[in-house]
Amino acid sequence: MNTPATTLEKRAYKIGTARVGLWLFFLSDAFVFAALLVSRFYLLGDKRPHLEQGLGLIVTSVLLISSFFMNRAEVQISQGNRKAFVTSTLITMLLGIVFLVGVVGFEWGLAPFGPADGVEGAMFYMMTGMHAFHVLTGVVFLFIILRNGIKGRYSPEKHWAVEAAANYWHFVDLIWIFFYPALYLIGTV
Amino acid sequence: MSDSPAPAENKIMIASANPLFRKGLEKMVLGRYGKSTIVRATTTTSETLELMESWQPDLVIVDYDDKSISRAEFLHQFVAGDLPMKVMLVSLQASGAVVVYDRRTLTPAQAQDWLSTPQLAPQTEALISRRSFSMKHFVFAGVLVLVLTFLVDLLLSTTRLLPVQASLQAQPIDRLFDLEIIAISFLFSLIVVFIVYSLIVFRRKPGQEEDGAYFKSNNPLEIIWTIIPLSAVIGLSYFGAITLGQTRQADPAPLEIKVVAGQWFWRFEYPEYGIVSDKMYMPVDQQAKLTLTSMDVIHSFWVPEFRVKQDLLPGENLVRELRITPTLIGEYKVRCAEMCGTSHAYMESPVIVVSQTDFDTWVQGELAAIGTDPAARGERWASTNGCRSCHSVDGTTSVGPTWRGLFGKTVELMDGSFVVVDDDYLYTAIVSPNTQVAKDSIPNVMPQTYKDSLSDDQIADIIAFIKTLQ
Amino acid sequence: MKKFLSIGFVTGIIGQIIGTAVGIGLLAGIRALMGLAPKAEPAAVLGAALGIVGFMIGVGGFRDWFTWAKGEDTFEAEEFHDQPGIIRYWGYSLDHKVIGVQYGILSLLLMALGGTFALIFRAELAQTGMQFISLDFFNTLIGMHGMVLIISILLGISAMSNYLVPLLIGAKDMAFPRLNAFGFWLAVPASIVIVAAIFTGGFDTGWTGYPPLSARAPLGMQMFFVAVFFAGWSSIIGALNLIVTILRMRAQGMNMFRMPIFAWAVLATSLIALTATQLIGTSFQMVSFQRLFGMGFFDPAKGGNPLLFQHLFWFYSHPAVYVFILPGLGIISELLPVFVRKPLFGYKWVAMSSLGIALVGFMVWAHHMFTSGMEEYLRVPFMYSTLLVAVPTGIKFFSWTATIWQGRMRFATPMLFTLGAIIVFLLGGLTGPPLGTVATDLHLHDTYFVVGHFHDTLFGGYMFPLFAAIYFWYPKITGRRMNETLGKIHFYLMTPSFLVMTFGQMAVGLLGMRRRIADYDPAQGFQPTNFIVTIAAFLVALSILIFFINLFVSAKKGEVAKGNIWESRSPEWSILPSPAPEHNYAQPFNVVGDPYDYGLKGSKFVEIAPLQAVDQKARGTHG
Repeated sequence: MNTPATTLEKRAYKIGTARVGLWLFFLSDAFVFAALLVSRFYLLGDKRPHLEQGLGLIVTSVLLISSFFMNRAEVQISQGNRKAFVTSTLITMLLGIVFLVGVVGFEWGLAPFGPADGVEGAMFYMMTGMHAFHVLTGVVFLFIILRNGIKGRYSPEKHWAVEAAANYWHFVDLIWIFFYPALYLIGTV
Repeated sequence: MSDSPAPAENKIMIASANPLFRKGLEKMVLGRYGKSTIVRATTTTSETLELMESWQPDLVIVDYDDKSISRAEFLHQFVAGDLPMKVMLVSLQASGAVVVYDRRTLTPAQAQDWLSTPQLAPQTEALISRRSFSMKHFVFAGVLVLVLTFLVDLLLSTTRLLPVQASLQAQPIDRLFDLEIIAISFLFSLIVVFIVYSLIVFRRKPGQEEDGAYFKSNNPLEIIWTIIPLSAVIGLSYFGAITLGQTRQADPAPLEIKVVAGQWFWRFEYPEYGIVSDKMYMPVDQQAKLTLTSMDVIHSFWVPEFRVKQDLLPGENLVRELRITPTLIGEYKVRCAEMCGTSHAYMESPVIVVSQTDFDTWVQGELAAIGTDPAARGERWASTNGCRSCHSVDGTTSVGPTWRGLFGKTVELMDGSFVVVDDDYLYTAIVSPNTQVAKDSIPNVMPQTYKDSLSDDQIADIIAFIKTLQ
Repeated sequence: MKKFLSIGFVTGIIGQIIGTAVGIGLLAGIRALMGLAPKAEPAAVLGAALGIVGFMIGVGGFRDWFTWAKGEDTFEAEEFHDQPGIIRYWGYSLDHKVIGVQYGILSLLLMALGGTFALIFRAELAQTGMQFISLDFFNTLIGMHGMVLIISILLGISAMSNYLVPLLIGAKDMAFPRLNAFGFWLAVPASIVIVAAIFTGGFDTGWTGYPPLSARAPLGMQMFFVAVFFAGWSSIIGALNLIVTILRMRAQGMNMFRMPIFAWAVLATSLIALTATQLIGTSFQMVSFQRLFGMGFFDPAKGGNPLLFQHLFWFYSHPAVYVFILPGLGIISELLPVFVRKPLFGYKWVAMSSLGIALVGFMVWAHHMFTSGMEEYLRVPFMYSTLLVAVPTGIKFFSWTATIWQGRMRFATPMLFTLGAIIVFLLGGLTGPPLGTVATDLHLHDTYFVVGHFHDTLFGGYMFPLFAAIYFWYPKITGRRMNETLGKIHFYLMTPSFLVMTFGQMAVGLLGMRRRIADYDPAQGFQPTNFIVTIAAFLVALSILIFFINLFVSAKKGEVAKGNIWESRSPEWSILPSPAPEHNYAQPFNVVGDPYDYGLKGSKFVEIAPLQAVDQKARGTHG
């Protein structure tokens, strides 16, 4: 029979199961980015694309800082601090949007090459494009947990969606930590 | 697990149908270990197994001589569990000998020992007799394996599986094939003989409902049939690497042939002689170094009699090399071996291996032919640049319009206008085909690269050739 | 009418039509507004992709997730009940058994379709010259045959895994039932899109889609890319679900080494499918973008390299073949003990060998590229790694032989197909080393020898085990047995015909017949063998037709299956009635012994949990 204790146990087990699923998803998605990384080095070798270093540094910082606020949000909701959770999540979302504007708006516009301009263009736009797509979906997930958070749906015991969204956000950030050096730092122009 | 007692206590289980034995042991155990011990006793196999499973004692003391406690079943349960457990085998008959086994460290040999000494329950009896019984079968089957190996290898090596061997590079490759055939014959026989032998010899006889022989593991055997195949594949790989090296031996002064592939033709250029041909002539016993490149998509150079194959890639930085030393005079064909579009099946050219003298004669003949007549030259360019793979010269319908009767013909264009095919029309049709598409043809099929790959002189020669086809 | 429109498949199709129209309309509209001439290809690609999304919306794939996004609760998957009867197979069911059957039906449909493509081009190849079809149509057919059957195999594997794994491990369903349904339904519109490739100009590259040829192929190439991309997601999703289910949903007492061996096979398979599949998606996406946006990944004129495609493509497509065969090899290991009435020999080694094959399978891809012109120093190392795969595979063969040795075999149809699988897969495996050794591969690459090799491995590792599995578990699904006589006819007609077919293919391959050619030179002497191969192929098809008839007729007229008809120790036979009930095990069971102890008197594998263990039941099933 289902006592409150067993229901809690059952739910905890289910979340553990969902957690395994989430990490397997990250493992799978990582292979896409690994393929792009390998392609970048296969085609460009020790050359890197002509890019605005300043802009690159700015967008990278924005993304890293957003991860800080994402973590804060998760910690805050696990402590029951709903208002702070909402604020932190909102900041994360806004920083994510700033990142997208910075890359797709500015970097893409300012780059001295287009997607059809040689392998430099092909790899740069493909890598940043696929990453930006994931940031965009991350922003969408953040919007969902923001809205649900405002409605009071999350509590210290029940906030799996926040944990999942936060981990996804960190995953996307981690990808950029590999992509940024690969595109901006490693190799000669 | 269900309710568990305080871990500090020892749980000891005594399995014996003999009441005196039980009582005596109980007394001894309680005296030895005292208050922190719980002792329970069982008298039958099923009781023993049930209690073992549900109570998980730390130690089980088994009356080794007791026929009502099945060793096999006890052993089975004992090794199957996860929690630490020890068993103490006490035998009154064997002059009070006592053996203690720990579940975690029990080895198969010890288990066999345990099962095969004097108690001889009916099940173990059958096991023992089956064991010596099996030996004879292994020997028979083994002999059959060798016989079948020999027969299969005989069949495969006497059947002509490969084309005639016409190059130096083919020789080490064919030797490797022979080795592989022996390996295939052996491995095939090994598995098939044992399976078929067992299916026949141990078949279920009518009315027999019993199960098969009960054995489920043998670690030493597993290790053996891991190590031996591992060594075999390493050996085969090593031999394979040597063979590959032998096919790649480079002669110091090979004949240079540049092979250019395009959809759907081959062109052979001999830079040493300034010749371009649609047939690949090769002097016998001299290594030719082929430089391979493609004009469009990936193709692949292959003459089966030579064995070696190499893909041709587009791009100046992706030129590849293949060395072939023909050893047998004759006429062969090179056929494209990488899917390259519509006419992939028909992309072939003659490869003609001749004596050195005949080769020199051919070279002289080619040099002469290129010389004087524009139409003859034009015919040459048409063959070596792919025109002939889509345009026939005899009126046959093909991908593009036939050249027979083309010059002077009136053609309706896509925009509705009518033009007469003259020199200008043909020139435009070759260098910029999309600007004057004929009404019933499809744009973009005619390659648009000829303006770069053909010189104006060559184009003029081709037009001269077309004019001769009425 | 209303009832018709309440069927998931129907609303899905409507969604696909709408999505396709939106995709095409969007791009055509935007271009018109910008004053640009309409371009067919981008519109078609967006249309195909949005069509698939539209189908998923229409079939109800996003409904519950949308509800959760809004912050509302939905019913628990365990509370889900299907409508009774055939209608539930056409809708969005959360029951793994229904989904398993859905996968199976779609798989068999695609098998029939892909097989028919082969019959058409085999008829053409029976004689030299072109008799019935054009060169371009031939090229499209061989590419379609390859990819349609590959998708069919992936679906068939999902069918077996989805249906069986929860039953075998004692779970009520998969870990993520909604994800399960989503994964299945993705494959339906993807299949429609791949068939659309035939009607949008076809493609001439074969199933491997190499650029530069694929970069200049007709529009059908893009339909091919879109379809495979989404079918790939279906495969990834299914794999994720299976891994989590196996790790988290096992019955009490079922530690990893007491799982039925098929679960190990599925685990190894799923680890590959989860990860490597992303690379075929990425490589196809790159060619697609090269076509759409001029991104020169594989275009030498832009500094690109066609070899990169081959590396990316084969990094998936080689492990993919292990995805194709590992489940079938698991079926062989699962069924042998039941029919020889003795344990599976070396269970732990067999379990580990599946993982071993999966691991080594990731390290061999470039053996498909020995003649490609790739970096020379790669050839020998990849030869070593390629031949290495024979070691874990050999462990399986030796285990099967030892399992059969001294067994008292029962020759029912599932056993016939299991034996056939072993022999055919043996032949496939033995023809591997000549291909895996570089020097001999120089002769054999891109010939019919390769075709013979992979048909042997695919039939031995997938088709024969699939048939064995269907004949074996059909009664569990439907409550009726398939007809034994028809089953035996199927086997005895298919096996020799198939062997003749593949031996013929290998013979002409060795003698110089290339792959993917619509026509061949009569002077090469291939015609008689090709004629025989064509006849053999038609006989194989006939045998499968007999199977299909058996499948349909037995559902209504088959002998009713009462009790444990195979005397299997596995819980779905020893505990459950046939057909298996909704949510499987009403009471959880405990594992009290090893799965394959046939011949050990009094031993049991599973036992229904005693009623005291109520608190365990409340915890849900776990291991």
